[in-house]
Amino acid sequence: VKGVIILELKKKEYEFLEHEIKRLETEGVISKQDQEKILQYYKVKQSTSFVQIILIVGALLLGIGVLSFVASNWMYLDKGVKFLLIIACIIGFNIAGVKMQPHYPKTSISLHYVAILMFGAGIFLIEQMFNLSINFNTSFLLWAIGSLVIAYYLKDLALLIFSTLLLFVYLNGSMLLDETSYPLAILLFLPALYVLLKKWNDSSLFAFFLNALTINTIALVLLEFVPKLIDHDPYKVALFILFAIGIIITYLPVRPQLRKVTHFQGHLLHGIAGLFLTYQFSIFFALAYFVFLLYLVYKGNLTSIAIICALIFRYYVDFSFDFLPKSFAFILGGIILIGFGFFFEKQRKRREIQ
Amino acid sequence: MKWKNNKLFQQVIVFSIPILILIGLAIPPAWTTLTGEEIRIQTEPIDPTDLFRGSYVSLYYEIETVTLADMDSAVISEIKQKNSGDTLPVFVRLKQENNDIYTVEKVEKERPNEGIYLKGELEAPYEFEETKGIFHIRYHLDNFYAEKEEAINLEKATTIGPAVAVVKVKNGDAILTDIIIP
Repeated sequence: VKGVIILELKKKEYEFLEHEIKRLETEGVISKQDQEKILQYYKVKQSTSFVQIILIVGALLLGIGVLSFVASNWMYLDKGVKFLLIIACIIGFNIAGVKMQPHYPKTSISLHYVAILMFGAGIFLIEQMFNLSINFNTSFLLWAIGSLVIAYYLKDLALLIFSTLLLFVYLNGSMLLDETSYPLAILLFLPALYVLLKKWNDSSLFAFFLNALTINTIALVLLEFVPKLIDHDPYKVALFILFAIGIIITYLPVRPQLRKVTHFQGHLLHGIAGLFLTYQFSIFFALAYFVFLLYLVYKGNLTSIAIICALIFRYYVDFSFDFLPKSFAFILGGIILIGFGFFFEKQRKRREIQ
Repeated sequence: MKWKNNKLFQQVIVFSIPILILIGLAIPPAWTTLTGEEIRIQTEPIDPTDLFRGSYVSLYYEIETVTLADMDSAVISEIKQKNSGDTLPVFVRLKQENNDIYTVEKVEKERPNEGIYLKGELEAPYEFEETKGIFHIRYHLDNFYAEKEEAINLEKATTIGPAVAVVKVKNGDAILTDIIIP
């Protein structure tokens, strides 16, 4: 059916519903057509099955085994032979994956996972064979490219997220460990991945990783370039820009399915940056931020309650050791936390009613 | 466009990408190793481990350290303008000593027409005046991968005397092929 919202149910829930609707039909309450029509509004939620988990763990073990076999540098096998062996295995696992796809889709995908992990092992092996001292972030970039192409072709979410994780290593490795060249490729990958996100029906899990990669990129750019432009307190400025970006993200008009996860990440960002900023600015910043958080809570945002708790805890630890007698500090802390617990529960209830 | 809808064709393209990346990665160093000229450089190893590539011997080369006298005027004027931490791509012309070991003859900006030379990255110092005329060049020849035990033995043996690195060179590209303990 087009234009309607299809609700995803757990398998048991769906079976109950199906059973009930069938009963209503046999009792004559609804017609046969009604029965079919109603069921079109529901579908069974695909969850990871036991078989899938076993296959994925198996693929991971096999892949990691090959990776550490390469790292072990076993000298009784010539490096050239190892290389040909890896190439043959990648081809073999991919062909087996393709052949098994029609009848055993779950096994098939796990074989492709093994091939992807072996591809990574192959990259490290070449560096080992020729004693190349190139930095590991380039290896991770190449690994990500290969894995991304296959993820796109197989339309596999796990592989897509794996590629994103490889890009995390590439990005942070280039900026934090090896400062010889900027990871410019990330500027190409980010927009491309956002296009893919749309193709993946705005999967919120992938959106979470992709947004995190974007925020990570922005944070590194700020840490790199703000000190070059500003002489006075550059890290404070960078942190404040991140704080502001966090707030902007929470108001970003994104597609409906991405809203929840994106706004949550915005709150997380301004929460963490804000907390660090309370050490940089005077108490007035903390107070203003506190009022802003209260406003967000009033608007129904629950993440802000966690930030408020963290903020209070941070000052509670400060003050309790400085001024107050310990017992008094504990009593006060207890009252504050219970108060917040009550507030939290009340807020949730209000949401449920709405 | 019939080929666009051909599933087998698509599969061949997609799944050959990792293979092509691997082969593409292997060809340049393999070419240098097969066709390059063999030279020997004095070196000093230490032994660390890498999570993905296993244990290796990290090498320090004699030719990594150069003085102002080794550099031509174009290199000197350019490196003076660089910020600390930046690098300047250079060509290092080598000469063969009596004991068969190659040492630095000249650090140049332009690619030499003949002779043995290596591509390198000259590191800009923090304070130009305080370098005492000593500069550092990176060649990306720093790692020699070996099995754990071999790596340890190599390091032990070289505490007695310096080792010699066997390097294949082709058009300035270099591949480290072996370490010889004298």
